[in-house]
Amino acid sequence: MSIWSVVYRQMKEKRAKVVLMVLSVAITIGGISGVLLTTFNLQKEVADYYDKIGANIVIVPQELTKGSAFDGVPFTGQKQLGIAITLPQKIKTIKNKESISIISPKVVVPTKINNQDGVVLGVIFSEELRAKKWWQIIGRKPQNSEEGLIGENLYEKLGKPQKVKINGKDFVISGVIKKTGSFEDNSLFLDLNTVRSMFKINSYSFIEVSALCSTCPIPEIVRQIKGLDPNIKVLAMADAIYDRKLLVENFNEFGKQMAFGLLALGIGNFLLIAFSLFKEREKELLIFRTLGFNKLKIFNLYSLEILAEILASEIFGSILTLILSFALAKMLGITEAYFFSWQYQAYALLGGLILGGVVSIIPVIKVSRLNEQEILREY
Amino acid sequence: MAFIEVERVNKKYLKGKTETNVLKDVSFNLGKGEFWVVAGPSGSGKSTLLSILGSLNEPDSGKVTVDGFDLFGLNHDERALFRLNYLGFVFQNFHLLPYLTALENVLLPTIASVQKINKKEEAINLLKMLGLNGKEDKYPKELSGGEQERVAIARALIMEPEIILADEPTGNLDSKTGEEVLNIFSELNRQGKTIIMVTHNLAHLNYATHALFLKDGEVQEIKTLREVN
Repeated sequence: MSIWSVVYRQMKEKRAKVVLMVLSVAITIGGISGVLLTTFNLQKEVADYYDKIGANIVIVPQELTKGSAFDGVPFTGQKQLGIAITLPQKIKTIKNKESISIISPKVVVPTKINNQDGVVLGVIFSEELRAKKWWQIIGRKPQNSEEGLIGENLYEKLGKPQKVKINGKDFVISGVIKKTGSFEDNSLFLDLNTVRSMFKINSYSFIEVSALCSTCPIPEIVRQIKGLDPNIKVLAMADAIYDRKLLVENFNEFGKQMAFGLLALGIGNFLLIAFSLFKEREKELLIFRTLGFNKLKIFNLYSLEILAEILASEIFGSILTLILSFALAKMLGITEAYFFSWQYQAYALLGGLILGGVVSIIPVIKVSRLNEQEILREY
Repeated sequence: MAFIEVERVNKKYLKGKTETNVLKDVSFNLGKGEFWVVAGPSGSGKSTLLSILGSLNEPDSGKVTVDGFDLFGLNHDERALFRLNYLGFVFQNFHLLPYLTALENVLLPTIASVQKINKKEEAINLLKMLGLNGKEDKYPKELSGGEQERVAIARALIMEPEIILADEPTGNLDSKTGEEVLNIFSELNRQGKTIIMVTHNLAHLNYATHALFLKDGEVQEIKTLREVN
């Protein structure tokens, strides 16, 4: 007979209380990790949204002359006042530079494309493609400065050509951007420096800046960029997900309070049940002591039981995390949510072991130190 | 030197605000292989004396020496080891673990040992010797009072102790079963075990070599009833 078989039989004997204890810890673990996972899902959703909308700050020249904009996009050219070429470098020096992920300067030139009216946008493809993650390109990305992308409307308008001629120079259409419902549908995208040298442009039409995070201080970044040049206007795009951000913040707060509440409840329940179990086992302890069990043996006996209960709690806690995070995701309308995270389960396991260890050590020490004399009086 | 020496043992209990002297200057010497009956009315201090001899209860003053070991000069773990190797307890209420079978209850002390020991065969033989053949897998609730007492005796014997301490072992048994249990103790004594049995039934003196009479915590009389076999 091993110490494990005694522990197993003890647990089987007191199964109602053991089940209650396991459920109590499982609810604590499942509740806390479920709420934390939902908070993570909400934050991720907001971060993904920012990732999808790309730029959330647009820089335009302070004054636009009449007729210098197309579909809200400012043109530039030899005669137009634009944004200083040095501005992108300066933006990289602002205080909150760490929050800035993409700086995408552009020139916009209305011109003849294959002898038809159109708009050419000079862009840095590496930055632009990072910012426009929603673009669906039929074909491939441009590989060199003689290749470009074209909006689907313009492509159809021009008769779906493989090449386009601008200012007497040929460019290969490497890919077509599927309709986005914006000015992009009617634009041709070419390499920024190529367009600038072709049209001899020494300024930018506008710059899109992306701060790809849910908690970036956008108004502060706007203020810092404005301070770089008095001739620019810095516009923060309307925060379409303000309500969602507010929900994240509120849920964060609620989550913290709920986690603390659950933790306190869990510890309280665990202590109450553990002490009640140990109280019931005083007679058992007397038997162990009379039979020659030393304190370490008794400590091992009860610790093994606690360990087994915590491991069982972890399993049920994980299932509960799954159910709770799924239910909360449904309730809060989170479309792409994680219902299980090894990381959170590892935290929960560690937390459970620490909680169980700290809490169980008290009654275990109490029991192993009990004076036989006290128990003898009762039995 | 006597096998067990009890010198001027005193023990007080505090019941509420009242202090009760349970044992007052109790002294006696006990030889190896003797069968002592500790008799006396309720509250005379019999069980307290037994728990002190079993190193479960510490006296306020005095000294108890067993086979040269000063019991209360040992620390808690040394006392646990002493109990494991020297003592076998048999209680009035049997004190079997209800969730273990008869065989597992008998084997329980083997887990207390630091070394891993396998005494399953010995346990089965003990149960057989005590008339519990075929009852190894029964749980305490499935056994009669007498059978439970015999399981408790087998458990007390599994580590082959020198001394058996029995606290009113027949207290919960009918007279016939009680007699059977006393015969077992008698036989164990014949085999060389030292037995100290607490009882209030003076008929049990027939089985003993010595009797110690306690009254109000004091030794009233020590009688030699017969010679050790």
